[in-house]
Amino acid sequence: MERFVTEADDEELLARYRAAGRIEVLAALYMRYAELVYGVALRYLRNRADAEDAVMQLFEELGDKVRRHEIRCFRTWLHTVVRNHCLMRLRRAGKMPPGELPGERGDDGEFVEMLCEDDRRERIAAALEECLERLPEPQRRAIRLFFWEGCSYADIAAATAWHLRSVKSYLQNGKRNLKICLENRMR
Amino acid sequence: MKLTDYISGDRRGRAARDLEAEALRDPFLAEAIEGLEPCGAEFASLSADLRRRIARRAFSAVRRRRLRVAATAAAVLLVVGAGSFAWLYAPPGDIAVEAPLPVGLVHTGRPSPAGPDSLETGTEAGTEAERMAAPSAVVAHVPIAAPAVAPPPAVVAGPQRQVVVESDGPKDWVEDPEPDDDPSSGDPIDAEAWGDASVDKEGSGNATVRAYGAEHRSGMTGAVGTGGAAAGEMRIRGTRRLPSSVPGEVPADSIRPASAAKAPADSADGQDRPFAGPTSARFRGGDLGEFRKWVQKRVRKPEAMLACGVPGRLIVSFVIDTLGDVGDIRLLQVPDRALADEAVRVLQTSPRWEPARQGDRKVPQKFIMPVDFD
Repeated sequence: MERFVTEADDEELLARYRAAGRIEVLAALYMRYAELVYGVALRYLRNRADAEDAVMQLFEELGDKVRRHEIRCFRTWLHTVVRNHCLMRLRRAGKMPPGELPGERGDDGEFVEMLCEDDRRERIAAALEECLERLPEPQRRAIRLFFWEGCSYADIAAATAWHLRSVKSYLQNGKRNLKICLENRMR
Repeated sequence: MKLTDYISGDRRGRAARDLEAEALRDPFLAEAIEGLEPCGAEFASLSADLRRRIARRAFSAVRRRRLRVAATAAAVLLVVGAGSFAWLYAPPGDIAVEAPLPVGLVHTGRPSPAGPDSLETGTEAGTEAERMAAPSAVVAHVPIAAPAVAPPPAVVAGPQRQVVVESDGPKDWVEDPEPDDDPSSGDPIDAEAWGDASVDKEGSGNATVRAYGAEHRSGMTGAVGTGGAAAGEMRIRGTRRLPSSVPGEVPADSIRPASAAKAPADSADGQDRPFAGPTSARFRGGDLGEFRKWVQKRVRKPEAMLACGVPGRLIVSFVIDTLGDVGDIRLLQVPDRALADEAVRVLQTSPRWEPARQGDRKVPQKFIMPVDFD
């Protein structure tokens, strides 16, 4: 049983919980994401006490939710649940920032994956080079250091004397511009 | 946990970059990192706290607790019922074992009991002399037990034993004199000689062994042999002694007479050869150490506890009854509820032991043992 709990993947654990209804199994599953859930709660609620509270409350509600919903991928499902829970809390407290809407992040996982892998980059090397040339200098430099050289944000900040926040923003914007440029060229 | 490392700043260079790249693909991770970044080095303890809270919540599930309480109550009822049934209907001559006595009187030869003793002398002077006379009487009757008294009890220096002695000891000294004026009432000492003997043999490492109910009086067989009337008298004394020697002991006393009452059935012919030395209960041909290994191999740290680093050593006591079953499991030191459940679960799955023997009679025996979770 214990070995199963440590080795099984999320969906197997979930099926197990649904079948037997044992809360330890659910706890083991939730524990895998405790940090992530807490982090997301912190991001939205901006307060440790509230975030901890949210983590525990979600655990209380989780058993019920798991039984009511059909879950294909527990990880993404849990993310949605956490975000909605936090937004609901904020709304109830009247603190909902009107500009902030869930799901603002575009799904560019595929694009990032491509940038991370050398051989996939090779295949579109020419187009990539051309688009990179069009980027503003800081963005190009940040992109190269991160994806080509494998430097972390902190490393880039140290190497360029930029602020950590600037590093992230250059990367974010550079990535977006690069994607748009590449998509235009492919067409 | 890589996220914890990253937030605490312990993850640098390529490893940090890989996590950052992962976050670019995984919005869940990205949002979490965004929220966690201000925590910095504090995050490790925050997340440990959180895990502990979740674990506690999961393991204190009310349903499980209720179930356990109900099961325990049912078991206790059953045992008590069966015990009293056997006690009431057993033929009088067979009752050779009295209520098991609280053991662990390391202080026999030591001056310490003199304290309570001297306080008592004012109330009853006669008992003092009687008690002094008792050991020699026992030695005379039970030659086997005599050498066992001789080695100094210092052989066992386990801390648990010390604790037990302090809590049990004085009560026996105070209670012993009052119940009956039979000169042969040196029971506690008798039992303790037995207990010490077994400890000398078994006490190794930090596992402690104590004997119970091994109270085997040589005078007893004589009485049984001479006639039914004497045996009947014996029995009455036995029942009367039960409350007097027991009250110092805590909860599960109610269970013990049951196991004691079972003994005679196994030892019908044991009274013919009463002078064999005591032997400790054996587990698969080994001693308590063997059993500990067996338990240690089977206990699993509950998954939810794995990450929280709750330190895990608990001390359990249990009694191997005359059938060789593990019973009367008590938790003497419990760092965490979930660990206790797991230890009890494993102990309950134990295969039968070969029960302890006093002569040819099987007797219950109590053991104390640590269980480690690491």
